Amino acid sequence: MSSQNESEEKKKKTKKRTNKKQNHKQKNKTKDVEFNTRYEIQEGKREPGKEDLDYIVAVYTKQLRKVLIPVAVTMLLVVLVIRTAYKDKPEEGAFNDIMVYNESDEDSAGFRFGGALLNAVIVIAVILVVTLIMVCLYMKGFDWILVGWVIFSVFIILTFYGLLTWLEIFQYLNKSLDWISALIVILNFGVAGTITITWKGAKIINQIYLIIISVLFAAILSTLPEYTTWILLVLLAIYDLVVVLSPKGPLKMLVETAEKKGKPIPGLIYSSMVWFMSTLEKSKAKKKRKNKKKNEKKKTSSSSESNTTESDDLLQNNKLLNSNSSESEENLINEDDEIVKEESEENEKSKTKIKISKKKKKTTKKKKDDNSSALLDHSPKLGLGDFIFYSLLISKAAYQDYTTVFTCFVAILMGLSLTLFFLALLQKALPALPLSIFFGIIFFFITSNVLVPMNSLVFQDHVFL
Amino acid sequence: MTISRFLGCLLISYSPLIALFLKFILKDSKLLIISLSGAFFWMLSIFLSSILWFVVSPWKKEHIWTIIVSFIFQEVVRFLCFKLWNKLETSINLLSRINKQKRKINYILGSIACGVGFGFGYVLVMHTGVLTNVIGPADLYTTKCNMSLFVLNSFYAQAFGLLNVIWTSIMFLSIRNYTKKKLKGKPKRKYLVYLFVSIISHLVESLILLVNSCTASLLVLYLILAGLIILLVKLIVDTMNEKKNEYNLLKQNQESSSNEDKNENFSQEINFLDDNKSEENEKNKTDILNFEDEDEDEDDDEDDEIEKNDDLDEEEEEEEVN
Repeated sequence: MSSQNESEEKKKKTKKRTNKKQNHKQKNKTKDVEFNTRYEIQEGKREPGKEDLDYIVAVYTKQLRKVLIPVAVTMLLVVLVIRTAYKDKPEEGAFNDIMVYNESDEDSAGFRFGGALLNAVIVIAVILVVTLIMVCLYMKGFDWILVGWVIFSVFIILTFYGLLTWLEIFQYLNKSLDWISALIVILNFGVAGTITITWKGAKIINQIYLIIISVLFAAILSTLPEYTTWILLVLLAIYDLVVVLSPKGPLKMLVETAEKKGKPIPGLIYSSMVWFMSTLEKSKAKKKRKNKKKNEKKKTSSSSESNTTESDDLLQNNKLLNSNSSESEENLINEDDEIVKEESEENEKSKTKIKISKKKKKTTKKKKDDNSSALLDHSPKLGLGDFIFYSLLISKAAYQDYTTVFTCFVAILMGLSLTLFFLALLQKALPALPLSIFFGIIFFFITSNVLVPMNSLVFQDHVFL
Repeated sequence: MTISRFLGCLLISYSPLIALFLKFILKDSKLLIISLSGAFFWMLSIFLSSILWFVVSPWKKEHIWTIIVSFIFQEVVRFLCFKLWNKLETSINLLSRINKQKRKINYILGSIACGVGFGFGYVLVMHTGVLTNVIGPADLYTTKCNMSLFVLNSFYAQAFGLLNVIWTSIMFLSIRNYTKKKLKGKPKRKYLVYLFVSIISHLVESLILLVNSCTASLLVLYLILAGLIILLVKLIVDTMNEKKNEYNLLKQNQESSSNEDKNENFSQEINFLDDNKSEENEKNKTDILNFEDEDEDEDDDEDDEIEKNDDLDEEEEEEEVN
């Protein structure tokens, strides 16, 4: 009897409720479950199991769009810059002073391959060395060196490389430019960029500046000789994979030191300088596999605080480490005839730097200053280095043809979404480069050599496959 | 080809795809990923066919063999996409049922999203990629249809872009309806017929472009397109009807078997729908068309307050009842 009464009452209740309330109730229920699972996962009380996969996948899909759009925007900008300004320019051998081996068409293919391999290996060795130096510096407490290095390198990139691309574009458009206005504009541009990236600033402007940095850097890197770029990309992907997934990498050391110090993780270094300069204490929230410019939101992504130890983007960290210390781009500016390798170091450092700054893009402001909201703020984050190398690949495609651009574009985005999917599933730090670059390289070579001739032949006879 | 004509060609070829994209796919990020993967897989299929084209030299100028080969590869890849999609959907729906949450992927929209991905990949590679090399002062003229080659090709590309959407959705829905486990009744063979029709139409459409007359090719192309759209609409209506029938059957089974609320949520779902029907609320008429926007983030602050209030109300009600 009581059960029947209860059921009747329940039925009455359900009938009384309006649609809105029902929706809210369902929403509440789902949100309660979500919140509980989220909270538990964040607190590290339990690891995400199979039941949470659904929630994780849902959150991942929501967040994915916000990662894909900046990547897409950077790639489109790079294509634009290169198709206008850089394409018809004869390759002047921009990196000839830097590289150990200068490619030329006279040498045989095997010789070129060997030389390019040497170049790429040297670059990666430099990255490794700088990574270790940076880890040492961080462990001994010289954070200020890293901070200063970041600021300096961001400023130099924005002004110097920005001016270079600006001049190239104006050359293409056949316009004139006087040095006074150029100086004023570029200085303001650079200073504004450094301030937003390393300190406070509006989120959108922060993101725009990070995109601009990656675009500039990729445009400059695209002038590398051909064989070197491809081998460099492949080796970087392998390096990334090894470093991120190896159990004894420098990243882990960095993470452990950060934990010991009790400071919010290396966010200190690579996540926005905001955390360093400001008084915010949302440390744990900073740990994410992939940094991404994203507003802080309540709903968290799969990466949670409990997995902070592993969820750092090791790539980012490594490259971060690389960027610090050692030679600065002053060498480049002063035109010291030092070792070639040093200059290559600078490039790598600047690259990694960008990664540092990229990570900065973490939200500067938060809607609520509660710790709960901070804890809940997990958005997928992507290192700036990933942006740069994706854009480098696309720039190589842009030199050829638009079909290669489209196919490589799709390949890179697909690789990125797959890596984020695995990220959501495995709850571990994962490298962002390998899959996308793997797909991109395959697609590039197939389209440029096989698909484009077929298309041009087939198009003329109005045949659509 | 001047820039204005180039933009015109672009708009001609992309307009149906962009319309579908903006209406259905931008709302939901799952669908975006599905369309992206659709483009990816289509590109894989065209790579295979182009590699074959590249390797076998006597085919290079005889287009009929490339058409047949690419047709085979595209349909096979479409089927593989369907299999993948099926697997994903079943796993996610299983999880959602375990968790008693409503996170089902709308099947119809998913198939359309995959088709839009295929279509975008198609038009990008086959049409726009070649077109961008031709921007400049000159233009190519064909005797077929007495118009510029590029405008004609953009019309063809438009048709083919939309056709890709239709082919994928027909394939997905027809196979699904044929192989789905039903509570009552046998799987109908008409779905197989639909599938066969769509596959054959692909071959016909690509072969008809070899014919040299203008009206024949355009007419046949667009007539078949119209016919397939009608077929697709019919399919969608059939799937929705079947869903309703199954739902009603489930409801009947539930009511007959148990008076005790074994599955609270499920019974509440049923009551929820009854209320909707009684109130004749157009938005919530069918569960199938209830596309929830995923932009819940913006409403978080408001929802929190409402949540708290609702929770309090429920607690008060329960206390009163007790």
